[in-house]
Amino acid sequence: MSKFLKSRFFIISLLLAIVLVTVPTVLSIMGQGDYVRSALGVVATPFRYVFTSVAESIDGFVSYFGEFDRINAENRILKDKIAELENKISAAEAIDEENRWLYGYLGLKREHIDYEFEAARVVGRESGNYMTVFTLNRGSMHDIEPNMPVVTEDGIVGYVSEVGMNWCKVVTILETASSVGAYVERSGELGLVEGVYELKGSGVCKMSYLPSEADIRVGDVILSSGIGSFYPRGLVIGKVTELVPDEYSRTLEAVVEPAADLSDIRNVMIIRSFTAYTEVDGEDGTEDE
Amino acid sequence: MNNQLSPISWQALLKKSIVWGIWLFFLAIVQTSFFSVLRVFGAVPDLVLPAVIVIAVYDRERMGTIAGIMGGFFADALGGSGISLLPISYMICGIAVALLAYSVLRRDFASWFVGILISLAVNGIFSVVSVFLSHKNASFGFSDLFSRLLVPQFFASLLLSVPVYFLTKAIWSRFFDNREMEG
Repeated sequence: MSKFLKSRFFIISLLLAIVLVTVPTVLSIMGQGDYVRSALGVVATPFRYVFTSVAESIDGFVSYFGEFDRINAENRILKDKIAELENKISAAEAIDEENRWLYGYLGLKREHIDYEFEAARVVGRESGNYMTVFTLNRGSMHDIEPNMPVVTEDGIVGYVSEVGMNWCKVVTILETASSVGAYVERSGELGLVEGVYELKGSGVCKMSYLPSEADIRVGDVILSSGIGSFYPRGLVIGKVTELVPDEYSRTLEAVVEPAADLSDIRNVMIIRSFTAYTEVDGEDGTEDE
Repeated sequence: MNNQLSPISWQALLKKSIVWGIWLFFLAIVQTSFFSVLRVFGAVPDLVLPAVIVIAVYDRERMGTIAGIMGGFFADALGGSGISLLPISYMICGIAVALLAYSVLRRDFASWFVGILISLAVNGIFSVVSVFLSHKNASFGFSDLFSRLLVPQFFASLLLSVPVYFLTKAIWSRFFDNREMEG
């Protein structure tokens, strides 16, 4: 070992190494590059360019998958957030809808302080072409009984035809089994609004028993009269869309479009009790149904 | 005292120096280009030092010395800046491992592995010295330097040193045979 360390070869090599360390260091401190290093750099540059390009390509390739994983993870998070926001929007829409419905309900309640309402939700529809019979989520356990009127804030929907423990069925005013004592709001002309099979498909009903000279026009609002039916007086039934005179019976028939949108109905109110109108007592009568 | 080393053909020494010089230069290029982009454990692995140690283990002190100086100079020329002690540190590593391999250990992979562990540790010390000399005004915490520089550099170099060992051995087999070895 000592033989080598004392050899001329080792001493020359050590001196060379010291020169190779000190000369570049001194030149570097002086801000100058040495020629040997520069020459090596010139030779190495094309090769370094190739190797750097290859490395960058590989790095880009690897980064692509790294980026892909990152984007994928971000995508999953965003999807979760979208789902969460959609749920919130859906909940907000439901609240908004309920709010609007309650607002209408409040208006109806203000107009008819004698009404005792039971709010209900449509949980089923039965019809081939048109929604004329609904199932609600209220029944006998909610004190619902047959023949109770069902309304929305817009007007009459129908009446309760069948009651279960926690459900009931509503026959709409479009059904042939339905008839509502009615009058023209503007003129007071009396008549009877009935469901007609031929008109049911069009979503309208008929007001009949009007004298041929009755004061009624297209666009008149028809209200319930409270006479001879389950409905309290003054509820909106709909508007006259067409007048059809019957020359043989010398009467007039009016086609009435219901005010309540029966094709898209979700929330309704069942009127459990109200102060009935009687011809003897007039509107001040206090007979409960 | 006889300070003369065993005789060797200067022609053979020149041939070996050229072959190993090209190889070390190539490794220095790869180290300072390819692995400066694709870092291993966040550090640029040292490819030159493992090759120097292979040469030192299999070709004794003289070629270990030459390879250490050349390797250090190439690595310094292509990748260093400011004060660099690589030619000296690589030379010391080359001589020490060659002497160790021929006096205590054998010329095999295990000896090389021991040699590379020691060399990387020594080189780490030189790196710390170089950093302190080059950045006198900066404030370095040794623990920070240890965790951010030395440990990643050590393990990255150790990992890549294995393929370098086999490639260098393959070049050895291609260009030289055992009869050309010193001693």
